[in-house]
Formats: sequence, structure tokens, C-alpha cells
Amino acid sequence: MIKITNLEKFYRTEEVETIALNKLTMEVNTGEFVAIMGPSGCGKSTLLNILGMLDDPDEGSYVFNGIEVAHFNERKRADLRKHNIGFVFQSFNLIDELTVFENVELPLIYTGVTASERVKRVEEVLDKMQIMHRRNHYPQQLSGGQQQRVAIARAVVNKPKLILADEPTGNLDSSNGNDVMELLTDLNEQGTTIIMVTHSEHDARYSHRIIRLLDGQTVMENIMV
Amino acid sequence: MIKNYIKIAWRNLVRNKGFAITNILGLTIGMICTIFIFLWVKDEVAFDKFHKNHDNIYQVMATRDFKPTIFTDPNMVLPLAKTLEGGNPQIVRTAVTSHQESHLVEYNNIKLKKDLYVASEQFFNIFTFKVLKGNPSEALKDPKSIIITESAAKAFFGNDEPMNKMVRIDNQQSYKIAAVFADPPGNSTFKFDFIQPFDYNSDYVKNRMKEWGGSSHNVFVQTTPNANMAAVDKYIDKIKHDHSKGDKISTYYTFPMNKWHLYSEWKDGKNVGGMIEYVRMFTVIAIIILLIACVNFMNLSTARSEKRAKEVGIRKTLGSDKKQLITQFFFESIILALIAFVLAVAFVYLLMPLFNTLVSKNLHLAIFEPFFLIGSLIIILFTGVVAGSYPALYLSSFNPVKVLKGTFAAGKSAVLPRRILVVGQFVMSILLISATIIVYQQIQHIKDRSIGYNPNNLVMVPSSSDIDKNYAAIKQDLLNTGLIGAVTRTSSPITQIWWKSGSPDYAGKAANGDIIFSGLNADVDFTKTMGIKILQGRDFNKTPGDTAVMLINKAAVEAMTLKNPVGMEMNYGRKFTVAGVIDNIVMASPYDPVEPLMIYYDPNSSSMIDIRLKNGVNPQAGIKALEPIFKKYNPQNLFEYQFVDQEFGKKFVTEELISRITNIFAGLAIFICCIGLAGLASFTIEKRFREIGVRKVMGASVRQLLMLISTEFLKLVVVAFVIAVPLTWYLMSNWLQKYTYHISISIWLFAAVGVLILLLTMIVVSLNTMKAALANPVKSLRSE
Repeated sequence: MIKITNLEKFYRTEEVETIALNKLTMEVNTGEFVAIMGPSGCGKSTLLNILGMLDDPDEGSYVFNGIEVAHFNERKRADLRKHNIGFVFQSFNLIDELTVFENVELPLIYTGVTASERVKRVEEVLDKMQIMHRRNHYPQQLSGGQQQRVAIARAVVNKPKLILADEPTGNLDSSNGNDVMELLTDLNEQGTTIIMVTHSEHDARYSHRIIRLLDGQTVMENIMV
Repeated sequence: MIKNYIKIAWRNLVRNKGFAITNILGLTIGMICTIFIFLWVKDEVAFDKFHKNHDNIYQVMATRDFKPTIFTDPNMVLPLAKTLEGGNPQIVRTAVTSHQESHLVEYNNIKLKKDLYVASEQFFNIFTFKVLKGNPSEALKDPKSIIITESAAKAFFGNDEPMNKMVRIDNQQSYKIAAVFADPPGNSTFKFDFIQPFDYNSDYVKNRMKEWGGSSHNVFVQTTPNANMAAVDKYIDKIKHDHSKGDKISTYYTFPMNKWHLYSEWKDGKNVGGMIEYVRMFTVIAIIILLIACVNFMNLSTARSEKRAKEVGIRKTLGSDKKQLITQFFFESIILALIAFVLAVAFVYLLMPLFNTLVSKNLHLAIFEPFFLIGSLIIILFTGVVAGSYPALYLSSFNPVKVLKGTFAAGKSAVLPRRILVVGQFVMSILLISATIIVYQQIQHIKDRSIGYNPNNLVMVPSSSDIDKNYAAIKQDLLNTGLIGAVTRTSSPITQIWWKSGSPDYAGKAANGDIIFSGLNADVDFTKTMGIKILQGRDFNKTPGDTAVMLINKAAVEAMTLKNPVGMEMNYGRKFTVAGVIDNIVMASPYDPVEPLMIYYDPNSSSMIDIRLKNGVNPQAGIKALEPIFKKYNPQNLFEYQFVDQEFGKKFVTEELISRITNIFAGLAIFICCIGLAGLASFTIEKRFREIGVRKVMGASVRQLLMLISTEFLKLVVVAFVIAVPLTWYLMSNWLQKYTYHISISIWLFAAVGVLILLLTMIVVSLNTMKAALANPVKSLRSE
């Protein structure tokens, strides 16, 4: 599904050039659950942003589902993104002005799903995440665990092929964290490819494979059994 | 999608009440101004447009070139209209009217002064007034008929049928009412109560119809659509000159009805505009005020963009492209504009009577008129798009990666544009305020100008044949009251010039040049009654010799370059000797220089009796004393009077109106600025709340904290001031150039405006800062 080759990304300030990704090459197959680990500043988030087409690489190739996307413009990236990729963030990133239902509905609006179909699909996914009873609440009225469930519901409502999760349990206590990991595992078992950035060895154990990064390069890959 | 936008927009407004109220208040005030101004402008532009043929109606005018002065004259000879008719295929119809005159109209003991035109047969075929009863065109063919307006009919007959009733005019002839029409609308050049036909059988009209000199009528032509006006002008000029070969100074041409109201001023034979300048000026002011309100929205939106940044990041992550985000933010600004507009319309409704009093008009808001609907759409879209443009582009450009990571300091990159916008707002406000003060000073300057006579405690009573007959007895009775200092009579009110002509002949007059003279007839005690200074020679001296002497003014002496005017011989139809030179008196426009004037003794052509009340006499007591005397000698007529100072004051009506309107708009502009400033200040404080706390812990005083925050804004005001001063100077100097007598713009004016704006900024910012500065620092530090 994903094949990146010699990917490079630099950050420049007036005086310093920092290399975030240094000729990184990796591959992720359909249906895999991959964890990316490494110390702060090793390029994990940069990699995830590029994989999610929120950012573009300076050099190298990124082939997504057989299409070279490394130098797509914003519009094309947005289009590809909204149909294929769901995001889960550490800080949930729900829109405060929208209710639970409306937050989950949002990706469907951007992909042009009809109103009646939207209601059906949002209700279905809320039900699955067991937060149906909170559908008319605003994010501030929910606990962290509930907010992350909503965020996951939002990420999967469009039935994406790929879910990118950036430390999904980072803001949660261990019990809520485990719940979230269970949810991701379920999704993966149903066929969704998942790439997750994490600091937690515990969480990483849910994945099939761990990619360890250091200074923008792959230093080790562990296959989980 | 749209539903989602509206939902978000609405919730954002409800959740950020301060932001919403600040913006809606500013935009509402801005829109109220804009709506009022546009209604006013619409009324001005629509002047005379209710006539069906307005595109093809012209008034015949003349440019009269008295070298070196040229003046533009609408006065035409009576036979011109009839002669033009049928002579040129492009001229469809012609009409001639008298000037508007005020006459005593009487019906069954009801006596009222009413305005009247005498008009020729085609008048109602050229001009479209709404006929209620009868056939006005037929009525104009019968010299015994008269046509009345609805309101005049009501005044005389109440609810009775006016048709065929007889009214008597000036205690002389009676006329039968043959038609009734609706009152002319407020934006009509013609304003009248009666229209009366010419009586071509009367000796007077018969003689005037043969007379091709002495112009005192208005002549109108209606042409075919798209007529070649150059050819029409040429034809009219030729006809007039064919009949008056001696007229070497005049050129005749047509002046389109569409320009009568807005382009009514002439200088040196050229049209120099008129009300159109104010129409343009107010349109610009309306747009400026709306822009100032829009800037508030832009500034507050970008200032609080940090709060919106996350939403933008999430939406982009979920697949929204930039265009969709821009659309969303435009939606929000348009919704805000729509709310402000609805409020503005409600306020305009409430304030309409006040505004109508202010501008002396009868405007109304017709919500279902296409003009209003299209206008509303334009105002809402203009405001929404202008106000939303910058925030939309700015917010939608956020990088989702940075925003969601929290490394992005939203609002920082918008600081400079925001400062530029604030400076722009203040430049406009300083300009409006300074301009308002300069306009006011200029009007005061003109009012303070020496007018050469004393208008206070001076009363004018319109003359009549009875008054003229009994003048000596009236004068004696008036003086006998002990309240009256002097009495004279004149051929025109002292506040108007009714008579202009070439100069008299005199020794040394240039062969190829002429001087335009104003003329006046007066009786003895002229200078005494008016309070005019005699510079040389003497006034009329109550001897038979008075009929052979003439007074001239200082301007005449200067124009004729005379060394010893007194005793000089002048020939104006007959011989006169200059008996005295009087000071220049302002009879015409107080804005223009006084023109040469000649006054000669002719008690028999008086239109006004002028009465000087003694010093210290209460004007109302004076009038009480006059009334029985005039009633006694002039029983047929109503007793009417005018105070000269009030009549003179009417010369400032337009300028004072303009001054009043600009005052209000300048005040509102600065108010909207202050609202925006308050919003920005409270936002800055919100952002710097923690900093304020830390500084307080370190020992900063409240005053120091106020200064800290204020300085940020005061700097902007100073920059605005530096830009606004030369700009105002340039614009207002240009405006002042159109007045011969004008003030020079004082540096102190700007200093005062500068201090005022600085103070205002300090107050607004301090009021907003105070709460943060006084708060317990522990609270602000803990909240982090």
C-alpha cells in the first residue's frame, strides 16, 4: 500500500538546517498494523505527516496505492486524503463548536455523502464506539477517553484504507488507553491498515511490526509474533 | 455543507459574544449611515426624474459675456417659446413660464399666500404631474381658468369639490378652478400651489409678446429622443439673434433637465457642478464608514485566529481544501453582515423622522422596491466580502501540521497587516474629524464676514399697491410708534439681487468691455435704515433732485477704476450724477465677492418696505406695533413680514446642512474606530494576561501596566496622524479654493484633533486594560 524510497525532509531556520528525515526507505502492506517508535525529534511525526499527505517531502518518492504522490499539490492531496486516510491525534483535535455527532459527520460532508446516508453511517459508527448516548454533547462535556473514541469514530466513518494514529493514548489513563488500543486492533482485524506513532512499548505490542527511527533513519525493525 | 457553515458561524457568534457584539455594533452603525446616505443620494439623483420625458426636456439658457465677466442667465424673453415651436423637427414642444411668484389667493374670506407659476399651453404636455381632476392642458388654453394642487385645494375648500370654484388673486381678477393635481413631489424643481395660463388678450402679455429684449421668463423645450443637441442649440441661438440683432454678448443653448438639480452652479459661463459634489462626497463618506466597520471585523477575526486555527487544521486534515475553507469564512462574514443589516434597517426605520428633519426631506424606506432589494444585496455582499476577505485568506492558509502540533503561533504573522488596518482606520477618522472642523470654521468665517449693513432688528414687509399709495402715511405712523428708527423701501429685498445688467455709460468706459452691475431702486433714508456706511458723498436727500442722482458701491468704483466718483455723470437710460459711494453690501451669495451695484431713487417700483427697529426694541413687540398700521392702510392683504437676519441666514442652509451631516458621520466613524480599538485592546490583554501577572509580581504599578498596553496603540495613532495631516491639508485646501473668502488651515486644528484622538485611544484602551491590571496576579498565573 505504501512504499517510500529515499525520503528526505529538512527544516530550515535562518541559521540552522535540521534534517528530519534522512533518505528514509520503508514499505507498509495492506492490512498491516505498524508502530513507529523513537526518541523525541527522531522524525516520527514528520514521517506521519508526510504519510498522511499533510506535508510534502523535499526529496524522494512516496507511492500510495501505486500512485506517486510526493509532489501532488494541496488540492490533489486533500482529495486523496479525504477518501483514503483517517487520523487519530494525541490531543483528539475535535472541533469545540460542533457536537459529537457533527464532529463525526464532518469527513462525510467533505466527501459529499448525502444527508440521510450520513445520519445512518454516523449513528452506526457511534454505536460501535459505544458513545451513541453522547451524540448531542460538545467535546468539552466529555472525558478524555470519550473524546478519543469520538476522534476514532471520526477517523473511521469514511471507511478509510489507512488510519494514521499519532500517540493515540498519550493523553489517556491506562484503562482508557487500553480501550483505544483494543478499538484500533479491532479495526485492523477488519482490514484497515494502521500506522501508529507511539512512545509506549505497551501500545507498540498491539502492532505487527515496530519500526524504530533515529535521526530520520530506520535503525531497526521488530516483527511482533 | 452550507448547513454546516451556518451552524458553525452561528455557534461561533453565540460563543464569542464580545466579538459578535463588537462587530455587529460596528457594522450596524456603518450600515445605518450607508443606508441613510444612499437614500439621500437616491433622492438627490432622482430629482425631476418623475417626468416621463425627463431625458428630452431642456431649459433654454444664455451665456452673457460682459468682458471680462461672463454670467449664465436662465431668463428668456416671452415670445421665444412660441417662435421656436414648429420651426425645427427635433423640437417637439416648447413652453414658457413666469418665475415662481407668491400671490394672495382668496376664497370666501380665506386669504392665503400661495406660490404660482404662469405657464403656457404645452406645460403639462412637457412636464408630467399627476392629474387628479379635470384636464390641465385644456385649462391652460383658457385665461379664465386656474389649476390647483391637492393640498392647496384642501386649504381653501376642505373636503368640498374644488372644481369650478372661483378664486380671486391679489384682490383683482377671479379664476375658475379647472383642474386639480397631486402636489409636486419633494424632489421636483417646480414647486407650486397654482398654475395659471397666460392671458394673450391682455395688453401686458400682448406687449411682452412683441418684446425681444428684457428677459424675465423661463423657456423649456422638449426634443425628439436622441436629438442632436448641438444642432438644436444652434437653431435656438439663431432664432434669438434673428430677432434681437443688437444682442452681441449672448450665446443661447439648452441645459438638460437631468442636470438641473445636481449641476446648478455656473462660473464664467461654465457649469461647475453643484449638489453633485455633495452627492459624491457623501457616497465616499458612506463607503469609508462601512470600510472602517469592515476593518474592525478583519482585525478582530485575525486577532483571535489562534482560537480558529485548530478548527482549520482539523478541517484540512479531514479533507477540506483551501477553497472550501475560504467559502466557509466568507459565509461567516456574510451572515454577520446580514444580521447587522437587519438591525440597521430597523434602526433606519426608527430614526427616519429624525433624519428627515435633519436633511429637510421626506425620505422613506420602501423595502419591497427593487432599488432597496438590490441595494441591500450589494451592501450585505460588499460588507461580507470586504470584511471577510482578509480573514478568509489568512485563516485558510494555516498549515495543519503546525497548527495541530501547537508550534504555530497563530495571529503573529497578521500583526503587521492588522497594524496597517488600524492605522488606515485612524487616518480616515482623523481626516473626517479635521474636515468637519474645517467646514465648520469656513462657514463661521463667511458668517463673520462684514456684510456692509446691519441685518439685526431690520424688518421687511412685502409691498402692495395700497401700501405704495399710502407709503407716506404709513411711514409717519411707523415713526410715531416710537419703536421705529427709520423706514425706506426698495425694489428688491436687501438679501437678494433681482436685477443685473451692463454698466451705465460713463467717461472713460472701455470700448470693448463691460462690467456687470447689480441694480436696486430705493427711497430716501436707504442708508440710514439699512445701516450702510457712506464712504464718500451723500445719500438721497428728500429733494426733487433725488431722481437725477445715483449711489454706487465701493466695488463699482474699483471696477470702473474711478478716482473721484462723486459728481461723475452716468448714463443709464437717462442721465444720473453719482451722489455718494456706499460700502459694499452683501446682497447675493455671502461666499462670493460683492459685485458693482448702482442704486437710484425710484419710490414707485418698491417690492419691500424696510423698517429699522430702534436699538433695544424687542422684535416681537416691534412686529405687534407694525401690524395694525399695515392692516389699516392695506386691508385687502395679509400682513406679512420677514426679519432680514433670518433671511440672510437662509443663504447658509446648504452649507449648514452639509456641516450637520458631516458632524454626525465623523462622530460615528470615530465611534466605530473606538469599538474596534476596544475589541483589539481586550484581545491583547487576554493574550498578555499572564505577562501582566508576572510583571505585577515583579512590582509593576497599575499605571505602568496601562502605559505598557496603551503604548502599543498610541504608536499606531501617531503614525495615522502623520499620514492624515498632509492628506487632510491637501484635500481641504482644494475644497477651500472654491471660496473666494476662505480660512487658512491652522496647524492648531491638527494639534487639537491629535490630542483628542490620543486621549480617546488612552481612555478606550485603559478602560479595557484596567480589569487585567487590577486583577490579583495569582489568578492569572494559576490559570496558565
